Amino acid sequence: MNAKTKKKISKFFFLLVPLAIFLIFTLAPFYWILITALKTSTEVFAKPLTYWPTNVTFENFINLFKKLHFEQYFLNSIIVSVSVTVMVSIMALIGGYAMSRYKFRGKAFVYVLLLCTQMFPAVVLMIPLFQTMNNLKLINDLRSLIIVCSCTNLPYCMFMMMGYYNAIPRTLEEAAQVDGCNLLQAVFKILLPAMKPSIVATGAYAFINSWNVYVYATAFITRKEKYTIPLALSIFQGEASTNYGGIAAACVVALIPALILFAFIQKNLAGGATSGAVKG
Amino acid sequence: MKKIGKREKYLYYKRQATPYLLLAPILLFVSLFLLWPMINVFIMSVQDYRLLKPDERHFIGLQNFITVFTKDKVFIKAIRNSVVWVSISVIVQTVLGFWLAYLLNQRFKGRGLYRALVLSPWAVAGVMVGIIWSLIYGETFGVLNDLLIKLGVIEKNISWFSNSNRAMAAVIIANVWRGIPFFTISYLSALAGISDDIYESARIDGAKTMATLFKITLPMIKDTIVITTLLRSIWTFNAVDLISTLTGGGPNNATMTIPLYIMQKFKLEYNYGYASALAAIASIIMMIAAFIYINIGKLGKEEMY
Repeated sequence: MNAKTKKKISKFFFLLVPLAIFLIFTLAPFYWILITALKTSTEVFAKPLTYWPTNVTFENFINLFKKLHFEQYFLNSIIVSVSVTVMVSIMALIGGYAMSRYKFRGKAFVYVLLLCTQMFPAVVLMIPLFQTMNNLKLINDLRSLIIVCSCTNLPYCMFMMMGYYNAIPRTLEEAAQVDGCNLLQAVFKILLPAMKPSIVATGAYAFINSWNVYVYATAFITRKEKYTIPLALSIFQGEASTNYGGIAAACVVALIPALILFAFIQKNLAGGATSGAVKG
Repeated sequence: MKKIGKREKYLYYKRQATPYLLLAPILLFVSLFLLWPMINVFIMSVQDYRLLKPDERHFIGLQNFITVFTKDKVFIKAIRNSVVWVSISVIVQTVLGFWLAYLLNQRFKGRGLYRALVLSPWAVAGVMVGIIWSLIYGETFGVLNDLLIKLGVIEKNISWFSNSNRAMAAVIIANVWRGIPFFTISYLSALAGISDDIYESARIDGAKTMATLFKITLPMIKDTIVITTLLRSIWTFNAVDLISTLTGGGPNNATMTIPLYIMQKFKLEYNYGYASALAAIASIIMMIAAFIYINIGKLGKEEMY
């Protein structure tokens, strides 16, 4: 056996086989949920189980919108997620600039304080926040979710932005200022275009997180027409636990926006998120 | 001369004030909706406060805490469950997450697409993870039992959620499925920061793959490992959505964790004072654990940067 075949065999066992196993483990649940959604209700409960639907049907998806008004929950989730994304992106963009470009008294304190907020459990904050929202008359109002989701996402997104700013050399703005721009012009004309992919990644991160928010939704929202998707899903699962096809279809619809966004940003996430948070 | 001095002073103060002004919106929001509520929890924890009797809200000292530790059997069980849930989840995720990052760091065809696919559970909400896996674990029509029977591992369908150890294993597997990508993403960027020269010189010195892994790679990304495991432990500790949709804490509280218990006390009994006391205890436990961990991990400031 020559060295080349030996290398090939070792690549097969130590690289390709583990890669295949990871991929199967990851995708199998997605596959199962998708084909369950495409099966008729009789086929879901047929023995032996089928691994490919014999009659592909979209009735589960149609029922989702016709009978369960899923479009309302979908719209609610979109409203919350888009608002949070816009608010968080703007504030993180501004705050991250300060953390990256300025030395100031209390910077370490701000850093540690914001890092600590990442450890606060949602179930703990939920209790006092429920009262706050009650006092503000924002219970059963999507604005309560928008405010709280923005706050929980802000610190981490700001760290992400900080990391992205750190990766851009300061000389870029300085050169522009030498050329006669003031700081604001330099930031808008030079820095923002360079930050575009980073802004997209941070915004998408905030979007996915608020798309998935659950604990606060259970605390603040009780009226059906204000449900967001995770809340609607969990209640649907409790009420119609035997309607496997319907639940699966709801899951598929809920997954699509988050997965598409993730596919676009996963590369930037790898570069930014933790390196931004860790290397201050 | 004086005029220039004034202008300089103005510019100086402007420059001094700028970062604070830029950070003001974030700090305002965070103080109002994260810091103040956290303080409020500790205040409520020493009160007798129920939603149904808001007028009888009054200070009762440590009474809630005493009740928790002397009478609340579920809470003691929840502490044990939380420890099991966090430690096993995070250890398995760390090992598998690192392994996957290590594989992804090598060259192979279709790596970009592979990475997008294999990391996708990152974006799945806890509630959805719970629902997806409940369809997999189902006793009669779940795919897992069917597969295990086909492979000859088990002879007849088993009920995953009637036995306490199996139920815990089931929620942990679902959580691992979702958690691996977080670690992989973190480790990938850390691995990318190690220059090839180091490996090159190690190889010239005759080091084997395993030796370079343990002597070079792992020590070099130690800080990342400490930070990611710490953050993930805290997030796993705090997570309720997955368990609440998969088992609801059952059977017989076998998968009841502290946050899930707090949530149930809050949602089902409206006993705010008591739930706040539980929350305060959970926060203190977490802070102590994080503090010990940081010290063991020797994550000193000068080493970090």
